[in-house]
Amino acid sequence: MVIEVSDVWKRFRLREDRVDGFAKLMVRMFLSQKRINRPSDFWALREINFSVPDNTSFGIVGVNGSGKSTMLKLLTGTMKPTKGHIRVKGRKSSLIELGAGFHSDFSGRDNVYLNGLILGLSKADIRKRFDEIVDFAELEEFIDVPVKYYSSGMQARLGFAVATAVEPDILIVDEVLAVGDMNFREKCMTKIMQMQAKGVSVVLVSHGLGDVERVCQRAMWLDHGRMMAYGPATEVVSAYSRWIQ
Amino acid sequence: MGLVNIKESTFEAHDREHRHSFESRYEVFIRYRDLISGLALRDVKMRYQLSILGLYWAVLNPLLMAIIWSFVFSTILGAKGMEGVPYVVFLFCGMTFWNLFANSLNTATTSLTGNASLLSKLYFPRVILPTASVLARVVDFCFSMIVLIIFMLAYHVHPSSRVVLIPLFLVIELIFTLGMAYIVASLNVLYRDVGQMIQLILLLWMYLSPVFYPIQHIPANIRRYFILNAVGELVGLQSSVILGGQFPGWHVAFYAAIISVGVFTAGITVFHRLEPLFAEVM
Repeated sequence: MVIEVSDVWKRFRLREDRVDGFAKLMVRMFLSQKRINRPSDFWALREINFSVPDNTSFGIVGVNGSGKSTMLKLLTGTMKPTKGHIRVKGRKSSLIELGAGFHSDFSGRDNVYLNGLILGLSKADIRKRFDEIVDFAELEEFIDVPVKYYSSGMQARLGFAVATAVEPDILIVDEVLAVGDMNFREKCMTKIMQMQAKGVSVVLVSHGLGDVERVCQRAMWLDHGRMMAYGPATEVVSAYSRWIQ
Repeated sequence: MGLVNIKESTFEAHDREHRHSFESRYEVFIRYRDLISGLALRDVKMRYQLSILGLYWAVLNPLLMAIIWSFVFSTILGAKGMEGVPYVVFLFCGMTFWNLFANSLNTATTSLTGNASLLSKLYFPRVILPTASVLARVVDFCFSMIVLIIFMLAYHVHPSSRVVLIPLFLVIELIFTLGMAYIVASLNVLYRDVGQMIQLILLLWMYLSPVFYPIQHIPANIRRYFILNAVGELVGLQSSVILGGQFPGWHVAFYAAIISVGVFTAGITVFHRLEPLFAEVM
C-alpha cells in the first residue's frame, strides 16, 4: 500500500474566540473564566478509511465543500489529522496549486531552482533535469524573464513541469488541469499517464468525472466530510453522477 | 481562554510528532541545506537586486545611526567608549554585532506569515523559513564588517590577538538568534502583534546591552545580572577582542554558550509544538 488512511477525522475550530490581539488576550485572561464564545467545531472530515495499493491511482469526487481539498492537504502533510492515522510511503509531489512557491519578481530559472528545492530535490538534481523542465514548459526564450511577466498559462506549465520532474512515487493533483488550454491539458494528461506507467500512484481530485475514470482505478465520493461511496472508480463515479442529477 | 484551546486541539494530532526521534529535528538542517541556502540567497537577492537602496540596509543604516548616536552620546553627553578607541568606531562595532541579532529577529518574525500561500499548499519542514531568514542577515553582517574594518584602518585601531575567537562567538550568537527566531516566528503566526512587540523589546534590549557603553562601565553591584543577557555579553566579547579592549573573561563566554543552547532547544520545541496550527490559521 502506498497510502493508508485509517479512521481519519479532521476538525476545524472556527475560532470565534481566537485571540487576535494582545489587548484582547489581556481582557480574556481577566474576564472570561468560562468562555464567552464557545468555539464552534466544524468537522471537515469524519471517519475516513481508504487505502491505495501499489501501482494504482485513486480519485476523489464530491461537490464543493465536501472535504476533498482538506483530504489532499492531509495527504501532502500541510495539515495534520485531528484523529486517526495516515501513512504515505515514498516521495510525494503535489500539484495543489501550480507554481505555489513562485516568486513573481524572480526569473523562471530562479523559480525552477527554488521550487525544486522546496519539493525536495537537491541542487544537483535540478541542474540535471533543468533542460527537461524548460523543454516541457516550452519556455526556452523566457526562462530568464521575471515570472510576473508570464501569462497564467506559462506559469502553470512551468509549475507542472517542476512538480513532475521531482519523479515522485505519489503525485497529488487537485483540479490543476482546469487551467490552461486544451493542448496543455492533453499534454499534462499524457505526462500523468506516462508517470503511471512507470509505477507512480496518482491521487486525483477533479470535477471532470471523465478524468477520474480515465486515470484512476479506485475512487471515493465525499459529501459533507463523510464517505458516501468507495470502490472501483467507474462505480463510484456513476453513483456520484446519478446523485448529482 | 483562547490560548488553552489552541493547545488542546493540537494534542492528539501532534502525538506522533512528539515520539519522533530527537535526532530527526536536527537532521532537517542537513537534509534541506540546499533549500535553506536557496531561500537565504533569495532573501538577499531581493534586498540587493530589487531595491535601489539595497546596500542601505546593511551599511548606510548602521553608519548613519553610529554617527548620529556618537554625536549625541559622546560629543553632547560625554559618554566614554572603550579606552583608546574613538567612540564612533566603538559604537559601530557594537552595532554590527547587535544588528546581526536584531535584524535577524525582525525578518524572522514575518518569515512564516509572509509565506502564507506557500505554507498552505506545499509541505516542507517549516523550520527552514526562519532559519533561512537568519542566514540571510549574515550577508548583511559581512557588509557591515567590511565597513568596520575600513573604520579601524582609518582610525588605527588594532584588534587583540584573541580576534581569532570571533568565529566561535559568532556561532554562539547565531545559535541564540535562531532559537529566538523560532519562537517569534511561530508566535507571530498566531498573534500578529508579536511583530510590533518585538520592535519595542529589541529597542529596550539594545539599551541593556553593551552597545553604547563598554561592559566594564556597568556598576559592579549589578554587573552579575548582565550575564543573563547572553546576546549582550556576546556583543561585549566580540567588541573587546576586535577593538583590542579588556577581555571580559572566559566564564562570560561559557555562560553565553550555555544560555544560547538552552534558548535554541526551547525555540525548536516551541516551534514544533505550534507547527501543526500554521496551515489552519493562515
